[in-house]
Amino acid sequence: MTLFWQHFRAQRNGLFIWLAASVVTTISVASAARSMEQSDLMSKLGQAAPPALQALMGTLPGLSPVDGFIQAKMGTGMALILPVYACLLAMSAITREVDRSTADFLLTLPVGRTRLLLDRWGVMAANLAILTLSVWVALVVGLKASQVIGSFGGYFWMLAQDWLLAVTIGSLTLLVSLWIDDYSLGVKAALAGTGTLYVIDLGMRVAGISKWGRSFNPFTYVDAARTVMDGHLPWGDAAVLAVASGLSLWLAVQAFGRKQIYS
Amino acid sequence: MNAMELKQLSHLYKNGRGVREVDLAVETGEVFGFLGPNGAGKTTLIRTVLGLLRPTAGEGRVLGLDIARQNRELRRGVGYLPSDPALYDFLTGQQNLDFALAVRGVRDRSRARALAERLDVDLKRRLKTLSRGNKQKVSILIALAHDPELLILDEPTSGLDPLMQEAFQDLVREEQGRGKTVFMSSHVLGEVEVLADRVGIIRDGRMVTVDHVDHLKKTRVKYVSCEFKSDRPDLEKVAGIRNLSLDGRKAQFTFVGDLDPLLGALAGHGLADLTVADPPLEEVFRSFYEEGSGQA
Repeated sequence: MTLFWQHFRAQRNGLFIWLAASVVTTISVASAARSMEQSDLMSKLGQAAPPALQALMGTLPGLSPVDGFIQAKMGTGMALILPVYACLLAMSAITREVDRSTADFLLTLPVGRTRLLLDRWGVMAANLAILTLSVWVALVVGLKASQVIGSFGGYFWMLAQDWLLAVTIGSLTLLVSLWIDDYSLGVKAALAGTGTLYVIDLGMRVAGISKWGRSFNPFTYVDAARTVMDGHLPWGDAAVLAVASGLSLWLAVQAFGRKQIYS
Repeated sequence: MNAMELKQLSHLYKNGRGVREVDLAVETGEVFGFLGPNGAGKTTLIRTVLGLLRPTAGEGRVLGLDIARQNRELRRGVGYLPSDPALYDFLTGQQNLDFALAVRGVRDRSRARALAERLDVDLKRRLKTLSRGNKQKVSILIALAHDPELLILDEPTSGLDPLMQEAFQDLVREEQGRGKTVFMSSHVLGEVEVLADRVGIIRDGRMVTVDHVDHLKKTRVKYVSCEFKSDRPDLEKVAGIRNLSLDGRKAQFTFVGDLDPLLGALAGHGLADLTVADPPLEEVFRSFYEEGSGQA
């Protein structure tokens, strides 16, 4: 576990910053939920919009105003925020070590490359899980403090689905990062790629393109509104993300085993 | 058993540069100097041996272990000092040391403490606040702290002040005295000359010679100083003469090659005095490079 804890400590400051920003934002959203409980203005505005936009606005039929508001702000928001954090974590796993030459120090110790990569992936998954759980706890505390009743179990699964999406995007980024030795370039490329996939998914949903037509995109397999409505994880979508994540990790292990570490 | 044995080992980059077909055997317990200018392939060879780069051809064994298939195991017995200190800047020297020892499974820190005291290393400060020389000292400490069988040192004294260079040389001698093997690449030829039993010289990715330092100095290049009783011969025409300096009947030059033809050329002109001396290693090294660039 030495490798795991060493990298976990290296990421600690970044995690604190992300936690602070996310928890403050979540509590702000939770405190605003009470006004949604008492207003149907958004519902009226959203009724004419396509379902994808209604989901973004939190006005889907079948969802209470509070659930609609929370899934729109937190579910959809965290579906972008967590993958962004995942990109940064994935790029710091190997690419930053190579860019700063610390890979020379690390890989001339008796460290197995597979073990190193799995530990780095583990730190990424753990940090994302800590952030996700903290957001859920902040949401529950914030809503309870505002005396708002929400679908707390549904919110948990909604955020769990965002976590799974982030782990998948992080795993894909980790795989791609093995061909990039410049950390700054890698971060920019990963964020641009993730942002592009998010926008493409949004555009295709608004355009009414079927799920099959969007199946190449990891964002397809996240539907915050449906998860809150159902109160559990959509297991089929979760399985697709889990398989994509596992496959990316396996390919990354193979690629890292062959990677040349240039000076 | 040789501590390092390379057979036709190559690592070629896409641009065709790299190291080619290197044959080398470093004996257990010797200090081996590895010489070559920047870009000759020294660091590429070291990185290939350590598994950072994969061989494109050939094979190698270090401490009896295959460099391609058993690299993780062989790194247990190797201490590596890179040319540029590449430690974690946000950690202190002590944290870097603790991490390296923990990964290596070393619990006894007495050797590390003794070395830190001897090298006068400041382990309490974050590395980013240290000078290059002090970072280098932390790197040396980490390379030696687990008592490796083989030390691979890439430009070990760059950044060290003269006093610390001496302390480092003492350390290398002590390690050799304890039966450890040292493979050391350096630009500082005087340092290699003092420490190394044998040297290998690499040029354009190929090992051009491997020899004992003393033998190389005796056979390769000579400093020649001579004085003639009457007119001196036309020395410019004698093959192997370089850096010719003339002063009346006196001549000084360096000579590369077999001495017999030189003595034959000088003998018929009434030699009044002749001195033939071994040059420093630097001159030997230069002779290989001048030969390679067609100046011989």
